[in-house]
Amino acid sequence: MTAIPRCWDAEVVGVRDAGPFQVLTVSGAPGPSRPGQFAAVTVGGDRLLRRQMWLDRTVDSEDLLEVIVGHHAGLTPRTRGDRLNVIAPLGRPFSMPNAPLSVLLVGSGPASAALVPLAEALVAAGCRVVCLLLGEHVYGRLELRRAASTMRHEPAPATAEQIRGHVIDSLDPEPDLVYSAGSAKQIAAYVDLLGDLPHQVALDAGPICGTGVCQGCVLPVQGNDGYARLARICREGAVFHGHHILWAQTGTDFEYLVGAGP
Amino acid sequence: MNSDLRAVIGALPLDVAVVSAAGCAGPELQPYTDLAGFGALITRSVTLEAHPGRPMPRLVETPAGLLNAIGTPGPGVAGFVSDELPRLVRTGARIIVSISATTVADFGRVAAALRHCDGISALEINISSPVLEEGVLPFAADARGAAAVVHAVRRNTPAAWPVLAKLSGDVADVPSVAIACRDAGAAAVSLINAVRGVALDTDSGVSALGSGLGGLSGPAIRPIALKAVWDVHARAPDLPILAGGGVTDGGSALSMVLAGASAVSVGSGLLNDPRCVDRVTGELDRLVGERGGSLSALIGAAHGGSETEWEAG
Ligand SMILES: Cc1cc2nc3c(=O)[nH]c(=O)nc-3n(C[C@H](O)[C@H](O)[C@H](O)COP(=O)(O)O)c2cc1C
Ligand code: FES
Repeated sequence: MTAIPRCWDAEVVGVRDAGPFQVLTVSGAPGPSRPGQFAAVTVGGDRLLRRQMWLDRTVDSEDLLEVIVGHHAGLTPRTRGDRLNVIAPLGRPFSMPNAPLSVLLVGSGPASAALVPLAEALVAAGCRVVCLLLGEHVYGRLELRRAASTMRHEPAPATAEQIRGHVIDSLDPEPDLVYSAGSAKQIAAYVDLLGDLPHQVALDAGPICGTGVCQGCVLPVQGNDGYARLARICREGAVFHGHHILWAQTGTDFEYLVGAGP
Repeated sequence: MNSDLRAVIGALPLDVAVVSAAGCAGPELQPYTDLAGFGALITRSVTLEAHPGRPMPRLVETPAGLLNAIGTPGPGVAGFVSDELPRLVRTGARIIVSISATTVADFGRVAAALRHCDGISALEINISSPVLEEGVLPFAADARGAAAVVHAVRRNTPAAWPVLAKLSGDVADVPSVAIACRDAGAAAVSLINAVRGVALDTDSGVSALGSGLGGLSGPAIRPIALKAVWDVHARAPDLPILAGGGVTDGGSALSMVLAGASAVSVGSGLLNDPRCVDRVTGELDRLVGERGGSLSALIGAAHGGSETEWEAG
């Protein structure tokens, strides 16, 4: 069970630094959340759109919520007492395996923050977790190292070929399932290497409205009915089944969708 | 509420003079705000055929604003009538349907397809979309073209529905276009749509938006909108104006009214905060209360005083 999203003015009651990221504890959690869910948070100043911030965990007993904030998010570092407007919890959580499987996590860019609570939950469920982090602005090297059984990190910005090489290495031995987090473009660079492996992705939506009203964050997906349609990352995501996304068409004109289905 | 914030746009009475701008509110906002408490909700522009909308990226944040190139995604007018309109009506909001087309005849066809629908209070005709094919100007760029669209829509619309013409702020002579629309049968004008703009991705050297051109909205365009409202009210004081463009608080709403607006619309403000209409309404209520308590008495109040006369330059 996850809570119904709510919009509220929150106060920052705790700040923890984690490399280029901060973990903020804010007041007023609307209820339980699960790995893969996020908050849409205002940035302040003259910035209009919200930023997608991955929920770390709900501090249940105290009605507090932890969100992971990257400096990428255009937020100047926050201090206790700052006020933010928060919409949370948003999005579909990751589905969890119902057996202790071997799992590969691949994180690229700021969205890799989504993998931190996931890794913890997987380890708690007895899974063997291998983690590959790509890129220099990766959150949670420290946090993930604690959870993952094996941790590979490619700190420098890698070429597409290098990224593919790292993914190929991480697929040996082959895991039972794969979770990715990153932008659609980053994941599209290696997704074909995963073949038929079960694959869930948490997508970076960029600046968002967070309510689903503006259609500013769409990508093409194959519905269960077999028809292609556009899904909003901030509303129908941000977690998707990797095999439902039409990776080759995320950056193209969507005219081919006209008349494609109901 | 302390003040009388009622408004009349053409023949359309609004309980509250604050509405949501086209494309910026829908049932998605219901967990956060009471849509039935809006003066009205203006839909995303409805087109004749289904459209997926523009390629990604569709949004770029700019200082005090945003550039959007969403296009007009939607199921076409038939799908709107069968699926979306009933959902909107169920929210309890007063519904103004925005319509859009690329030819005068298609504007007429979209209007005709809506004419037997229940639950519609007015039509807004979007002749000012900033995102068109390269080199194509919106109908609102020219008084004759704008009037032709108003004629076509008016002919296909029940007499009881006021027709609002939504105009561009970035054209040479906004008042002439507004007056031509009024003479062609528009009950009111909606000023202004997003302003044409571009943003470049400096790494790749190409547009940061998938479709190249975008529309700038938010507080960044507020002075442009205010000028358009001022100029139209000065030339056509009896023509009701629904003013939008950077309205995000009570003060910006009040300035639109003082410049000549009968009511205001909130667009990008709702992308920032789904409760923005409530906030604008609450603040406007207080500000109008401090100024006599009647919004309609303040319409155009800034005109005529020697200290507030703005030279057109
Ligand atoms: C995401 C988004 C979608 C929009 N969709 C439409 C639309 O479908 N039809 C239309 O006439 N205007 C549309 N607009 C323009 C707004 O209705 C409004 O005229 C403009 O954004 C200026 O007002 P604002 O500064 O309050 O946003 C859209 C604007 C945004 C930001
Ligand atoms: S960003 Fe507005 S719908 Fe997702």
